Amino acid sequence: MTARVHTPQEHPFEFIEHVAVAITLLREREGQGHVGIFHKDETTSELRMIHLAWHHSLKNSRPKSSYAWISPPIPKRRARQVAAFCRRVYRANALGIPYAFSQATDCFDQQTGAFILGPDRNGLTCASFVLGVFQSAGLPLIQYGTWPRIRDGDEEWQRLILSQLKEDEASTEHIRRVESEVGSVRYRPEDVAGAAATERLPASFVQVQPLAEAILAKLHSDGLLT
Amino acid sequence: MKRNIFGTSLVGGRFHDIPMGGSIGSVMPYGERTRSWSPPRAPADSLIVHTLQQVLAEMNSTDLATENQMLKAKIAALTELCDEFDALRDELSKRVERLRRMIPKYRHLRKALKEAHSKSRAIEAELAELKKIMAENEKNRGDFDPGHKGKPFVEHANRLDKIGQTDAALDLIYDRIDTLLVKGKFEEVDSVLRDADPKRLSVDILLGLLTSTLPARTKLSTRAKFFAEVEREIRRRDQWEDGLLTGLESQP
Repeated sequence: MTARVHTPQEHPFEFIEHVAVAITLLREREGQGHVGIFHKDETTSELRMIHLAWHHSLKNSRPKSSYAWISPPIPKRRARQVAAFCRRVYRANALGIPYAFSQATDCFDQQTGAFILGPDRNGLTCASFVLGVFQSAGLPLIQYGTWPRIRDGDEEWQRLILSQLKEDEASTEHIRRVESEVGSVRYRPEDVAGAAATERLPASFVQVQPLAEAILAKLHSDGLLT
Repeated sequence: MKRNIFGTSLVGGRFHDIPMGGSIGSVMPYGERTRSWSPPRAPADSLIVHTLQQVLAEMNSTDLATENQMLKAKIAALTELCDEFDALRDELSKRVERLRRMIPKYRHLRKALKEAHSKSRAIEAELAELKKIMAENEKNRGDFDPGHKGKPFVEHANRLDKIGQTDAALDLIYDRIDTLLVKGKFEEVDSVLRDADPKRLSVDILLGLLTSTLPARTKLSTRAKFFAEVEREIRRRDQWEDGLLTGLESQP
């Protein structure tokens, strides 16, 4: 079921062609995943991982061996475009991207001058950031309409994030906006990874669900913690 | 008889012609000789010879012994030297063997070095080409100013792509298109798509133009036509594959 989900021990990162979805479990929060995109620049042969680490913290880090990777079912030439898109997103968002529960958009923001986050959006999570990148490159990973409105634990998680934003002294205005988004659809990191592991994109929730669970189980059994 | 100053000596007693009244070495006039007999005895000269022979023998034996000793010492020294040479030879043989074993490695290294040199030359050539492109880019920085008649950046991207710098070419396209879109210069982007000739551009560059303009697809009037031309050209080149343009259409 998770034949295309690789750990670097099974398949080194060198096998990645242009892009792959990267997922790990966070050590500090049991059961919580974190997702990003591995992207390779053929000119420099450098593999990087772009991910929304936290509020205004968009990172383009060196890949860690604690991440599993999945090549999405897209043509190689399109994967190259996604990699180029990742590099552009990183260059265009020097100030980072706010952390919130908005849905990603495939329209550029003429006001902020950035891709991914539309003008009436408050911010993204690590998962909706990855969804937004693929969507903006014309390759949506999921069928948004098929996602359940709310699942067990989603609202608790959103409230936890809200309290952490307050602790980190996010602006009052941003806190107020994020508060208004509590209860909105949550796309989990394992959902994104599960979608990348399907045979055909965009994937529905029913297709993704069993793969997402299998990926989480694999991360736990292989001890892929970051 | 011929004049003889020593006389004839014969061992065993016999007559001798010896000079009279003279000692050995004295000379008497010829004819004034007397014949006398002396009892058999070792003649003095024979004794001297014998003694000398003995002395010589002793001397020889002493010398030989000394020489033998010297030779023995020399032989010992030479043997020692031989041993050292043997050890040295063994060591050298080992070294030669080690070096012989290293030859393939060095051959490999030499080959790698040659390749590195040739790659370095290729990189230098690419670098020179990139410098040229950068200089032209610098010259044409005003491409996006309204009314500017500079060389379009798609040309530069195409040149980068042709020298194998496809990702650098895509970075150039994404950056320039993004800059234009953010400034709201949709007509400029339309003009870029209108001027881009799909027949002259690689599939990667064509996909780059379609992907980077996707977020503004509803605002670009020339994009739908460009998409159709790109699809036709890719099919004509026989480079079509399923899903290659999926999601890049101007109309969802």
